[in-house]
Amino acid sequence: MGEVVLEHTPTEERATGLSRRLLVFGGALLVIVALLALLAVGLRRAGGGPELGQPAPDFTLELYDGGELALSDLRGKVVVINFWASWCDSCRDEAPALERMWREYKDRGVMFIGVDYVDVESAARAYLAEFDITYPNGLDKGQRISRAYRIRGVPETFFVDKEGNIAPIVVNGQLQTRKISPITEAELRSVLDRLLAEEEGG
Amino acid sequence: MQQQGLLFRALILGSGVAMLAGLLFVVAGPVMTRRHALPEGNRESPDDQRVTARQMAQPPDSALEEEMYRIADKLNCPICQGQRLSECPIQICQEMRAEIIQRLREGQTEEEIIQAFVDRYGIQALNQPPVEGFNILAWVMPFVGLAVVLVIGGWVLRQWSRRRATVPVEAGEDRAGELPEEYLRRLQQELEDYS
Repeated sequence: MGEVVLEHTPTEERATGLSRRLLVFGGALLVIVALLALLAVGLRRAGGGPELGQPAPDFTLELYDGGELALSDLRGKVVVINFWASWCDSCRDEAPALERMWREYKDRGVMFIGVDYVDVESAARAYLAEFDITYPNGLDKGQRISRAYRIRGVPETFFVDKEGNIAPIVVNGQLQTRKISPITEAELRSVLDRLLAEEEGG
Repeated sequence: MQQQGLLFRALILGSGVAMLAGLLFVVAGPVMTRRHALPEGNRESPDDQRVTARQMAQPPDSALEEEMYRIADKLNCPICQGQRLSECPIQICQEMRAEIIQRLREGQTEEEIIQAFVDRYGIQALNQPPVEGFNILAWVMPFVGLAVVLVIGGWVLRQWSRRRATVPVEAGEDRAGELPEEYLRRLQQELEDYS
């Protein structure tokens, strides 16, 4: 169009422009890598909860009957940790079995703990009365215990051996860290008998 | 040639911005959606009723109920994912709303009631993260992200427009005297380069 267009890109400046662009892209890449690393660390820390043979995350439970109960005070005992809620229908399926087994094993170095996940106190108390539950129960305040154990839902049951480590339960022929879904008398019995037979420190 | 280069740069900038936005979302996302960090797949999914509690309940006939719903609007159902306590139809939430009314009757303030819920059900009980501590990130990050994108975008645009700055020269007219020496030298050099 009869116009001469002068591009403001002399070759020597093009070279410095290129290195500067490289610098910018490098910097951006560095930032992205740093963010990804942060994400990876976060995901790793989130983890999958307690592992077999590893110490069971300690907690202190404020009990509905008053007082407190700390897991770390129960070293030397076999502990059953049961997560439940009054609004959970399948918890009702296992509640009678849990109470029966508690009564059968309580004098043999076994402790049952009921951790109430997200509940209203009146409803929880009604539930405990309905099934005549006599082992200690308390609300998982702030969902701290549920989070430490990474529960998938309720009901869920963990076993802790005499040394305070997470003990396995066999589900469908596989060793598991937890029993997801209602636990049966037979399952409780088999795990408790095995753990009670174990020598402490052995 | 020029067009292609421009398209290429636009693509790079576009994907860069998209990546940045995606990353910000990924990093800030967990903060913003911490209330969703409930154990997945509760085997109890009691929200089978599609009608919300507010629809089921009688129209609030008292100031107390009005106040209760105002507070429940700031809270989440701690079991369902991302449902407000004020709208959650399940039994446990009805009981929680009843409890709010009870606490209001006892003369507790909104802050006290909300704090009690946070103490019992964790920070997930709130449907907005409180503006304090680490949670500030959730409020700040979107604006930081926007600012970063704007700054980077603006910088890149400036680079482009600078690079494309042109000096028109009318044909047949000797305006050499008006052009800086530098341009003339470059013109000469580039004409030689291209010929």
